[in-house]
Amino acid sequence: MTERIADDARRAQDAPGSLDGPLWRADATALAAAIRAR
Amino acid sequence: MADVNPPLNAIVLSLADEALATADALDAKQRAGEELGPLHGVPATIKINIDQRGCPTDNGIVANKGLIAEQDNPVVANLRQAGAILIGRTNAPGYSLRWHTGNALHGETRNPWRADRTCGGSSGGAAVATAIGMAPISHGNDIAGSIRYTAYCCGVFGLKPSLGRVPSYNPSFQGLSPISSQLMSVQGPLTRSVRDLRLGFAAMAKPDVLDPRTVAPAPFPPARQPIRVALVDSLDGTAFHPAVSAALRAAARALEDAGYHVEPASPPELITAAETWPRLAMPDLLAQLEPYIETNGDDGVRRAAGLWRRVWPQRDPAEVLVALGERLRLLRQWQIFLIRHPLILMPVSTEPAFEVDADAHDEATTAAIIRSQRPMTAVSLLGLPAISAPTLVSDGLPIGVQLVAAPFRENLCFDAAGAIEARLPPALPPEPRR
Repeated sequence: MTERIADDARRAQDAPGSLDGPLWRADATALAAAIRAR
Repeated sequence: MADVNPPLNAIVLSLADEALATADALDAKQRAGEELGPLHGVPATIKINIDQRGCPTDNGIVANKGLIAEQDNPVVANLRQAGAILIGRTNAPGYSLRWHTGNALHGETRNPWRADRTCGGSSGGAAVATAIGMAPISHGNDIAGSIRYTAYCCGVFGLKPSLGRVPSYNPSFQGLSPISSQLMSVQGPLTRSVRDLRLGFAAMAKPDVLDPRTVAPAPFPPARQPIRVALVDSLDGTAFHPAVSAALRAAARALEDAGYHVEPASPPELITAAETWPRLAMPDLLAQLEPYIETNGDDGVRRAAGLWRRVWPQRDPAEVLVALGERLRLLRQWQIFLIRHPLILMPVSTEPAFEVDADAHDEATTAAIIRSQRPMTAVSLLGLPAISAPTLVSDGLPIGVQLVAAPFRENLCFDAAGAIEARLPPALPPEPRR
């Protein structure tokens, strides 16, 4: 799961409005959008 | 979680295996083209005092570690329904009864900003889990500031929803719910952004027949612009800690910049409201819990609750009936006040996060902490929605403000917190190290 969430978080970082910083700092809104976009 | 949790001890039960299975099920749902929830795939945590199927509702008490929930509390069910992946259970003090988080069953939870200061309580594990990024949304609950104070101590956003917004019921609890819990305890989210706070709240706030208090209010008309904000910049004629005053000034400037009209004004009888909290809770909730604290509580909660009892000696059940009358009278006065000032900008606490264990030390310190928490207990008494919003960092600690609105007007709190966030972006805590 850690890898999967990290992957999703990496995508989330590329989403508009996402947070910068370490992978585990992705926010819920961007993460949800990134997962939907898969 | 494996990297950052061990030094902080925010999550005390990892649900990695279950989370993986949930993630697979959600992936399958997505592949099948089914409708996806607003939190589809988003990791979230649940506090240890709430029933979650298959997990102990131990509430930080050794004697309760075998109390395995057979079904979900409705707030947990709502998060699952929204597609959240529940990755762990977060720490709280024994019986969730301190403004500090630690217990004999799971140990202490550390503040990621400064180890000598409390992460707050009772939703301390939730606030730390979100502050360091293990879960973007953590569930917490609040009867005397437990969401707002922990968010304040850890530099995240915390929403205490209106009474009646988010359903809660622990089927594992065999007794009758004390009236003070019925009227003041609410469930809500802690997040690192206001948009996530809205998202978490929307997922949690689905009425459920298991909690007859919950309703789905009709939409409100837009508030008249500019929105007048009442700034509470002193209590009892006493100024706040300089960092708290600075946070209030910064938040006020941010709101002015966003088009709000901010002016000094105090809601009616704020101190009376705070002082009515113990009149309602001490002869009721505390009296009911005290035998259990004595038998099963760890040293910390026994000392902290004992000091509360010395500062707040109320024991007469008749006092509860008087307090109920006072509550309605005060709420009526506040609702009238909130017509002219739809928002109140006030401290969360009038002091920065206190030193670890200071709440279990001596009567004078406990009395001082209780005084500093009056902005929270007053709002708990009245069941109003409130957001704890991080505003600045002082001496290595986050300091925030509290935004309060009329019942069910969470949207006003969200908008104002968002305006502050946009102008004063919250800092993140230092990265944890093993």
